[in-house]
Amino acid sequence: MQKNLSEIEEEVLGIIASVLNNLSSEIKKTDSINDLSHDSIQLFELLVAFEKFYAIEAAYEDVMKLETVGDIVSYVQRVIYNNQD
Amino acid sequence: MNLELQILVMREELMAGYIGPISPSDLSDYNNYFSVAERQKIAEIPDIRRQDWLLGRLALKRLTAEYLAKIEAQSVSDSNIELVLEGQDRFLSIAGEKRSDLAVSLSHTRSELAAAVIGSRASLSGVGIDIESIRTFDEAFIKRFMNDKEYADWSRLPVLLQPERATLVWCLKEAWGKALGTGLGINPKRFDTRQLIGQEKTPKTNGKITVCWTKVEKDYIIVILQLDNTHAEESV
Repeated sequence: MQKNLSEIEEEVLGIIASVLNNLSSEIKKTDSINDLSHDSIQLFELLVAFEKFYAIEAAYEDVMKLETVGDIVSYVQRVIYNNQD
Repeated sequence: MNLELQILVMREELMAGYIGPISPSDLSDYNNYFSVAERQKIAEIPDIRRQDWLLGRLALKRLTAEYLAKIEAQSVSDSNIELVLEGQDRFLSIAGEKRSDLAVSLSHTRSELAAAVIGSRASLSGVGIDIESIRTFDEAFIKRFMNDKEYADWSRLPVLLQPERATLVWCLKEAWGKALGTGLGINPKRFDTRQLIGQEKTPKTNGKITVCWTKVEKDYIIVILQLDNTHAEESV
């Protein structure tokens, strides 16, 4: 299934907000994932939440290189939706 | 105020301790503990991370001051002890002097507690520390960070003991990654902790790794892990 960028962004922000107990409207694409989360367990919870939502097991070392919310959006766009635009 | 350091381990080559639990007001007047350069950095830290940062650095400063007093008979104030990050390099600066001979690690949790460890690189290649509150993890989370054998051991435990064991295993893996300098950049499943879990407050050595863990303030676990100085690249 294809989704456009704004739909993917909305989806990603929703997952991040639910794990980190933030409002998705307060999360920006430029935000650092480290800065949004309290600790490493919360970061790992984020990984697990994405894997559950998309029913995948992500390549761990690749995912750990993602630094910003925008990086996650790009990753989901590329890897999950196989969409380069 | 709970900003006093509680010492956990004190040996010639290694010292560890923690501070907390604290409330936000305990750190409201932080200027006394930090240098001008650090205060500039603090102003740039996002609100959500500021208290954790302050608490972690303060634990490290207090611990380093204790270590220097005991081992080197030097008296150094908090504001003269800094953890400096330069690219991939991370070192202690004591009154402006770079101290690459000292290995350090720090950890904080829930903006309430922070723990730190310091040791001489003459006897160890790395140290790592992690502190976490004991919690019930989601099953998918457990399966994602434990390897199959760790998971099998964990799942055979009585349900009441599972949260503490899962938290301990997480702390071991994170402390191990810190001691290696990789953090959780390496898949945690690759750290096999089964031979490192011993009795509380009793150091356990397996090969070149020594681990000690303890519970503090009722529901927090602290793990201290040291790699001896012949360890280098192996183990993961």
